[in-house]
Amino acid sequence: MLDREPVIDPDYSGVTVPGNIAPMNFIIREKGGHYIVKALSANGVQLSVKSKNGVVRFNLKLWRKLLKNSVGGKIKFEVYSKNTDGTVSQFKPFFMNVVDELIDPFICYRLLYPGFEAGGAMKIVQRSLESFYESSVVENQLLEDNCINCHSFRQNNPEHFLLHVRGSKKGTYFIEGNRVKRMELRVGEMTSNAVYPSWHPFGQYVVFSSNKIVQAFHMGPDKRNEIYDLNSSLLIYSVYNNEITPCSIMDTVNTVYNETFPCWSPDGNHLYYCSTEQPKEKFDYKNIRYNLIRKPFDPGSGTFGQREVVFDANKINKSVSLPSISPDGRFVVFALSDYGTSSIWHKNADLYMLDLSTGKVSWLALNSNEAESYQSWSSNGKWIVFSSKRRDGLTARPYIAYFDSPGNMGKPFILPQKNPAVYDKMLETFNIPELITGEILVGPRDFARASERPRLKANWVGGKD
Amino acid sequence: MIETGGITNRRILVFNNYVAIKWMLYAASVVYYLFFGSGLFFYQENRSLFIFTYDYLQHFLSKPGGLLVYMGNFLTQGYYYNVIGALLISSFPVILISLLMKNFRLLSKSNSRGMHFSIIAACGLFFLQTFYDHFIYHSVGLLLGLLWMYALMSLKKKYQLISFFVLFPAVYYFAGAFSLFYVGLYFSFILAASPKPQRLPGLILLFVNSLAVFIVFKEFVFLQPGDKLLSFPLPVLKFSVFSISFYSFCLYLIFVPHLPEINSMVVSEKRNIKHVTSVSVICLVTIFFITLKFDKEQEDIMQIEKMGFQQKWDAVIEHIEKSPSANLTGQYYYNLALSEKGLLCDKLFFGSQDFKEKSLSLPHFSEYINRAYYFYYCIGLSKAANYLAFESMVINGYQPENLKMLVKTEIIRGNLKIAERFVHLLKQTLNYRNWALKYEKIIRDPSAMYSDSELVEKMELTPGNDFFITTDDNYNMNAMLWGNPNNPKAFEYIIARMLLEKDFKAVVYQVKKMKGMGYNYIPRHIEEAILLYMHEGLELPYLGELTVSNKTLKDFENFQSAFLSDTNFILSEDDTKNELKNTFWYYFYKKEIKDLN
Repeated sequence: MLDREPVIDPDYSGVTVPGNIAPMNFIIREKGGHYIVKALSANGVQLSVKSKNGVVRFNLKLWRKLLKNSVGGKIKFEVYSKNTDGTVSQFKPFFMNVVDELIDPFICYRLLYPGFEAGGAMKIVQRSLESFYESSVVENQLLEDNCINCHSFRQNNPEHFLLHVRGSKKGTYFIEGNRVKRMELRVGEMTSNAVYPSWHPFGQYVVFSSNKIVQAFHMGPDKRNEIYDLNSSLLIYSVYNNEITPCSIMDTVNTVYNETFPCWSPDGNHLYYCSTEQPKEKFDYKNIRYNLIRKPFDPGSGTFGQREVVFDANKINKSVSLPSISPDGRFVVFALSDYGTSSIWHKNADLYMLDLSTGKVSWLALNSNEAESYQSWSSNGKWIVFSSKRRDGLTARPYIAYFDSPGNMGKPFILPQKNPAVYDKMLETFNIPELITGEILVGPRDFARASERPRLKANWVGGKD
Repeated sequence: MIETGGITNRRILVFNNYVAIKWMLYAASVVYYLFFGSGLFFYQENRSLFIFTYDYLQHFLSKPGGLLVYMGNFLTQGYYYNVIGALLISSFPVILISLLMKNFRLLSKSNSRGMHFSIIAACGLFFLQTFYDHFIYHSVGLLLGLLWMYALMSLKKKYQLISFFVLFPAVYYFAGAFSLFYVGLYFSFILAASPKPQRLPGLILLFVNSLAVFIVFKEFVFLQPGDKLLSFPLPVLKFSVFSISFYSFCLYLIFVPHLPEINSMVVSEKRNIKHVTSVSVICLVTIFFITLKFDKEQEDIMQIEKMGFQQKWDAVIEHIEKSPSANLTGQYYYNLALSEKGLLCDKLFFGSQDFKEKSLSLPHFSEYINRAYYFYYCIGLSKAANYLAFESMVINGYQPENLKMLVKTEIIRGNLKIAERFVHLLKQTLNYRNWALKYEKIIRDPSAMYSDSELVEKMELTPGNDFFITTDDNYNMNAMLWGNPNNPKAFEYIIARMLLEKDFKAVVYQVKKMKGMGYNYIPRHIEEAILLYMHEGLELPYLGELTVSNKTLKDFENFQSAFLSDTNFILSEDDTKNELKNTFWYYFYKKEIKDLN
């Protein structure tokens, strides 16, 4: 037996997986003409796969049986390769941990080219995490190739979400069950579109940031794109009253802030977001750094209290983006980079976790040398899905990590695929991976039909400061 | 009997003449593409990269008509070689004749009359195929329609209609909107072949069936908008010569089964011999029209671009200097070739510069996006070249040149994993596999990069600083020089822009930097700017130990005496004076001279 584990791709050795995950197919990157993989549970259930090209695909039914028998323990993988001279090499076995906390059964993400200006074909897709079933939720080829973005669910609920469409079919599309409603939220004094959304947990409000976004392209070798806001502010949309109102413009006298990436606390009593002083006319984008802020909120009256700095990233020359709060309201995960908001384009962006009960901020062991960015929680708070460019530095892929406590997280694993070679071939990037508790009921044709209907305009109701 | 035999012999004679015409048409087409129209092969081959992978096929499986385009792209690989391209494209009109003749026979139409109208159709296809927007899959789509009609008509009458209905969804899936043409064809065949009582029910069923298939496809099967289901992959319906010609041709094919019948009502069989003459005339008229529509400038651009893609920069320069291009793209490639050879400020005005600084770098519109990235690659702004190549790939799909550019620029920037992904695609093509293998070696062994002179040169030109790339190329080049002052290509492009803007004073103030950049002489057009500066009576700034050559001084004297005193010179054909036209001075004074004339 060789004294090392086989090289497999994706690297699933030592990862922690839920008891309902789809088969963790992989490729053996070792020389050989023939391979045998034996996957064994502690109680003796065994699954064998033979492969000539190193691609290992498990039968779904047998995989489920193996998982069921491995919950709370490990799956052991024994890999044998038959060499061209007829000898057989056995590698040191590797293991996967299987925990009984299940992950939400679906993941939803946008697929698009990791692009620049031309969007090209893009779609929002839902994928079963328990199998390889995948279907389109919306495709821009049915919407005159317009950009579709910012899908956002109310507490992982597949029947309650929204997304934006730009261009000729523009509007914010609200989905409730199998109904799609096309809304116009850019009204009144808004100078930019409603962009990043967050649903209030009770469902009657959505907070949006309205951002004037600029995109630029770096010459330097380490960076590609830079996306930053010239100005941005938060607005609250009342779903029941169809009214949109600015959350606040000035929080202290004579200071105008850029506010973006809103995120509600699970109890709905606080709004978290990122904020920085609005850049002056001449500014260096590398000096724009966002802090994590929160404001108390009264769901009854729909009013906010005073802002409070939760994490002063500027003080340590860092910038916070994309906060996401655990379902129990205790932890905030966010991306931290040297400056700005476009963490996915910053190689140095890593995920951090703030324990709201102690105020302690921890770097997460799931990070890599490449950019880690957009993250969201499973409905039970035990799984985090995030985007990472660790495979090639260009395209973001969805990774899933088990969460027990900031100091006890599982090694993350990439979303398993039927064809494990797919990530090397795909040029599209995975954007905004969100875990959801079931299958979305609407499809691309529903959006196409909704896009033919006139937009329902929201009512602008001035400021509330 | 004697008379019958006479008619038969005459028919054979006529038929043989038609066969001869058919092959003459084939020969004419081959000759045309080999000697005049090969630019079409280059254009189309570069816009339809065929990749031998399931993923590539999958892309075409998702929409009706995709498989037809897939098949067309497969055949288009043959366009890589002019000979194969010429033989291939010329075979389509011949196949068209054969298919029409087979159909005519089944419809019991006269052989010679059928041949007559088939040759006219072949002439039409020959004409259509000379348009750059007419791709192989358009020809294949038309031919498949006729093949399908032949297959249907070969069946017993009672099975024909049912077979059409049963196969129609599959045919629609394969050929997409060409099925509309097939419906038209079948409609026409029903009228031509069915007894009168069966015609109306057949036509109603035909209409209902087609509509039902369309609705099922749109609402349940394919995620495609209705207009795409009705138009892809037909040519865009617009008011253009090609569009009108294409759809008129489709109509002709639809009605062609009835033409021999109509013809026989007005022309007797004995006059068939005259048909041969008339068909010959039609062939000649076709050739006349092809000659008439032949766009020499477009063909020229394709030749220049092809040489550019092959990095035959000397050939580009020679070609343009021999036959100057009045086209923006042609002048852009000329400037690009000069820069690649380090001659931009030596020979800029040896070619036409009608578009001033616009011919130095092209705008980023979709029309130019496939060409714009070479400029950035040339000056070492590999990031911008990479960005535009990626945009091109997103907008236009995989093309050999955008993938090649992505490979090279990702390697230069050290992103080997990403470069490998594009190499992997090119490796699975017929014509670019060897190219990909070369770069795969570099990816596997990055030290091999340093033995590739092209990559080394571009890496050396890459600036060390970071800045935002903008649409203002003057800003980009200045920002590059800030990070890497030893970039002669960016420097000369900046100077070229100044010269084209006639800002000779600014040029003179740049000369002092040149010695430090490794220049041991002043390029000719910069010398010309210096002399113009002196001619204006201005005090010459420090030139950094470089001096103007005696030859240029003498040339300026000649220019002064020839141009500035002789305002009628522009009409002169004097060789010595013509040489002086290739100068910045002439460019500077050209407008004034032209105005005076």
